Amino acid sequence: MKKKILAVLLSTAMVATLLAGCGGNKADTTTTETPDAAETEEAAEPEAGAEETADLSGMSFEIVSKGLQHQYWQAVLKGVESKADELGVNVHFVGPDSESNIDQQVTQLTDALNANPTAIGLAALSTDSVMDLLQQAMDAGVPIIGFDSGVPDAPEGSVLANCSTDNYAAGGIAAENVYAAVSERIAAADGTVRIGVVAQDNTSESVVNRGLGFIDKFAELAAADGYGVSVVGNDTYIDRATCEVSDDAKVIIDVRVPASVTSELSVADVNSLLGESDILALYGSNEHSANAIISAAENHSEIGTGEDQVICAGFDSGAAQLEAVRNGVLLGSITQAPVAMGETLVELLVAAAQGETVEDVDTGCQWYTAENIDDPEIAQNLYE
Amino acid sequence: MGDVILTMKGIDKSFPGVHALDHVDLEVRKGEVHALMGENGAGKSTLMKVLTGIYHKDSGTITYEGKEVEFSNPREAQDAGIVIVHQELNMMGHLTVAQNIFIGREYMKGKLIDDKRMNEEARKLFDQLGIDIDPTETMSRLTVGKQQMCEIAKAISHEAKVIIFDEPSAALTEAEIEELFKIIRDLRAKQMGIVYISHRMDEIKVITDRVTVMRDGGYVGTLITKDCTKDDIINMMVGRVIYEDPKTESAVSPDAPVVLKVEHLNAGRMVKDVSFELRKGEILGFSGLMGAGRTETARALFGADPKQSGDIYVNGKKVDIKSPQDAVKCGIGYLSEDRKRFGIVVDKTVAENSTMASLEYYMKGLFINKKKENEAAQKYVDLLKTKTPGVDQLVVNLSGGNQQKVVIAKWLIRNCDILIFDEPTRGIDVGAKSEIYQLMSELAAEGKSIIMISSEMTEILRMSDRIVVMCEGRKTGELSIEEATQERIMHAATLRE
Amino acid sequence: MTDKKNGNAFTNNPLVRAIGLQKIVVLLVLVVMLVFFTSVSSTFRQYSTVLSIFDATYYLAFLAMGVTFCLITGGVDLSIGTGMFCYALAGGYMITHKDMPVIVGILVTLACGLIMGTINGLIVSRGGHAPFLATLCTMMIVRGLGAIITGGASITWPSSSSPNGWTRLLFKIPIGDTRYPLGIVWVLLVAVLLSLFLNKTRPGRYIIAIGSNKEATRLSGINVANYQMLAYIISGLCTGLGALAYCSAYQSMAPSGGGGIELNAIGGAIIGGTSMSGGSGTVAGTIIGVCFMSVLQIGLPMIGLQANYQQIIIGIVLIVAVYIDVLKNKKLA
Repeated sequence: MKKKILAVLLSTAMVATLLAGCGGNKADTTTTETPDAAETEEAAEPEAGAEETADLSGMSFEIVSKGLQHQYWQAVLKGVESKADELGVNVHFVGPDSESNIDQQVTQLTDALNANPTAIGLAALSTDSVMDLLQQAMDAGVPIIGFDSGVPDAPEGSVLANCSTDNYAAGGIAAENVYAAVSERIAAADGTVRIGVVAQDNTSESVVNRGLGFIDKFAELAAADGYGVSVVGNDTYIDRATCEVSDDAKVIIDVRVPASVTSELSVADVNSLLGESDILALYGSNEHSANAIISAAENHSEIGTGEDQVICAGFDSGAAQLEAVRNGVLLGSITQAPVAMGETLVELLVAAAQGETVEDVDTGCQWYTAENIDDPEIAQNLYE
Repeated sequence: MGDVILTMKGIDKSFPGVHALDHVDLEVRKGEVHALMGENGAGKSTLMKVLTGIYHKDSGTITYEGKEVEFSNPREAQDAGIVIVHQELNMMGHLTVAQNIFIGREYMKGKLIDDKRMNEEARKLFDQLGIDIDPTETMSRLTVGKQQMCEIAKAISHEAKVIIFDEPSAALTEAEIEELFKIIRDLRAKQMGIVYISHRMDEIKVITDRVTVMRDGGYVGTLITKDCTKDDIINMMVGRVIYEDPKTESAVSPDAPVVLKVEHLNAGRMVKDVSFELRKGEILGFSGLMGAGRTETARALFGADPKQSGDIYVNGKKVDIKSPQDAVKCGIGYLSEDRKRFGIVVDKTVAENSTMASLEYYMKGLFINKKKENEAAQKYVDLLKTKTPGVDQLVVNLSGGNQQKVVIAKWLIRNCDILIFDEPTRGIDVGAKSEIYQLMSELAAEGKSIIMISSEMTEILRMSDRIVVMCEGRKTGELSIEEATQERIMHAATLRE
Repeated sequence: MTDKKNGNAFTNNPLVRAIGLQKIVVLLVLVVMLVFFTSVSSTFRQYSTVLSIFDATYYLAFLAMGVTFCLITGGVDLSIGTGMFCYALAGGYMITHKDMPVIVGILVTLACGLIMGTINGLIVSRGGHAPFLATLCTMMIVRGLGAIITGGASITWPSSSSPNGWTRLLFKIPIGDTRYPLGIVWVLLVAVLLSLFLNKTRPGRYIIAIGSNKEATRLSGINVANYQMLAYIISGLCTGLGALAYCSAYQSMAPSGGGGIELNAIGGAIIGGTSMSGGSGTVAGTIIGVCFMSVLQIGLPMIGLQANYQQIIIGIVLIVAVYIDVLKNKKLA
């Protein structure tokens, strides 16, 4: 028995050491203490004066994101926190362990509702699985604001507004830039040419839209130059692409999706695409997929921006991707404005909570390359 | 026979509720093979455990090589030269023979193990013993006999002066036993003291010089083997006064119908061509020494273990019992010797345990009808006089005797007409014992038929209407209660082929 | 059909017995697989694919070698997959967020592995917990710790072109225009050392003995708990090495990732002939088994098989491997 106690003590001590050595960060991102009920009531008393002086400290918002692990979400969080500090509202920001953890997100949204917040910010992994909760929020009179990919196909009236990147349009911007880089080589090619799309999954609306935006735009540009286009690979993308496809296509758009979101499987997808003899360009539609291209580039000298190399484009940022853009491994990448998105989200939440009418906001995106990566306008949205 | 090397004098050892050793003496000389005999539970193993430091004696002295000793663990005894060759082999099947022999004391060459040297040393040992075993062979690829030889070699490599063989021949073939005896004679010639524990009377006559007999934890006496007969030894082993009145005549009429007939049952190594009949209202005692194959017979009959051949007839109709479910359908209930493992679920209530085998009678749609279940359980609590505060009491809180009654209730609720009691009173105190006996008699009087496996001679003689005796998987005797005596039973129980 | 007599002669051949029948069979299947993939997929023939296979093998090999020791004692270590991510995150955090030298990051990674391995060992050997349960719990703990350390953010170890990127070069060294899989050297070095340790030292011998018959080992006067713990420490340390190999091959690591990788590692060990019930297993077999797993994982997408089918095939392969293990144990009993 004594030995058992010793074992437990020792384990605890070691975990503690580990925490002390590596930590310092708090897991919880609550920015301010939750006020007690009395304060809330006081705050509800409208004070004489302009909006700027309105006391918002009684407001508490629950924000359920699609994850915390990617640096993208950290940047959103940064925007949320800075705006929340500025306005003096309480925000509790959570997200599931991974973007395939739909169950966990449902639990988090349930908890968020139970916390009885002033309003909720939500980026749903799956609209179907939160349908009941949306209804519950409507019944309870808790307004919901979507962000990032928002809550696609949400029932009328449940989500008041979205602040998001237009992912479809963003994918299109990537397609325009990639097409410009390879159009001469398409013209020069004797046989078919292949454009690879490396997607993380076929379930998340934002990821799918970025892929579709790219596919449709690229096809449109190719068709304008008189080439036939076909889409192959993953069925979801084939079915949902709206571009014209022809039987004797010169341009083949090949979409690959791994069985689960792990680096080695996505790298295997990239390897497989690079093995096609007619491959001309690759597009990774989020940070994970772009990183897979960069990992593969370590083994494949054919990836790059030089002549006869496979042109690659990414999405979002992160240390690896920024460096890859600077080094010319990637032609360029699309950045959203996550910080601005976080800020806008808090503004919309406050507005909705005060009963104002709110409308969708496109928080925008930019194409960045080695040339413009350090422009302040772009750099503020890039994160390591 | 040489000088005395080991003397145990007045060894006394009690466990809570049991006086396991009552002033036992044992003397071993150099160059002798000393048999230690006694019925199951006579205290032989306990005595050896005291000697090798697994148990600590309450009083008495152990003198080894002229000095009083007390070992605190087997390792110390081993280092002093007293080694046990266990019945259940202590080997690491995945390692080689040499690796097994030298485990814990490997030969080293710098920081690395010197397997080559170990193989050489092992080969030397085997040469010395005249055994042909490849030291580099993986242990699990050897036959049981060869594995035992390795155990002996390991013992000798410890420079043993006293070697204890605990039923070494139990799993060996005739040829292997011959080889074992040859080795034992060699060791005797080398002036080692050898303690030989066995039930096999004829082996004792062949290989040993003296016999010490124990009974019920006490010392009975020591004989020179060549001066005594098998019957002398048996008389010493069983020569107890039977306190409870033995049954004098069968309560079953000879023309009572046969409810169970087993013909030429073979199952595994432990059940060889066993045939017997059980009549309505009869208590059929199964007697024999440990490892005689009685439990195995019961398990094969009950379908718990696969059988190779043999026919079973219930009420004159041939049945095919492949699993316990089949047996239960034929109205056979089995009360295991190990209640905790096979008989009851200790952390369930009396009611839940009682209806465990017949839940289908207590269902209401998909759910258990708790009320009906409790009523049935209560009925048998009253009937069997089970001492429990209520049917919702957890079984773990009941005494051993009352737990046994819950198991009996389980099979009675299932309407079993044939009940197999395997060691029904093991771990049950004296008062509860007689209650269980009375219950069994009542059940038999009501027309239930009972097979009672018991290692207790008094229990067999008190309860049985007829007695089947087994030895090494075979039926070696069948006695009516009128002709049965302790001596006759023991005679049959040691009757080897 | 081979004549039965010949089959026996083959299995009794001293060379076959020294290497082990299962390893030979797996090696043969591996060769058949390589030939098949090479003939079906032109991509598979490329040098870059070879490099990819090695990338996917290094970390798995370290993990599998470590867990082999746990399996041999009759236990298992389920914390290695998420543990690998957690330790790499902790080490990477030191470099990217605390501006520590890379060597500190490496040492922190290895130290984390060592500490968690020790904790696993203590819980199993001293606390008497079932290894499955104990390491399942620590798996959850390291998953949480990984996220806490980095504040939920993912971590990117320095890239190969940056001055701090030499950890990557350790596994893939560029000479001229070509990159060479230097990692093979480290994996083989560790494999040789561990193999020597397992077969030629007392602790290694006792680890096998414990898995074969724990009680008999204890009765032989051996401190069973110490050696059982040692197996988990080795597993933890190997997981640390695996973490270094992983972040040299892939870009960034997200907290709470790595789940499922432990099963690939354990699968590799079992395919290589390590028994789930303890007592038998070799480092060489594990390396072969891991190669089998990574060739399958990289090769299947290249012949155009959709990802979900790949998982099914890998699952079936593991069922077969475990079934062989069950058969072997039946023969032993």
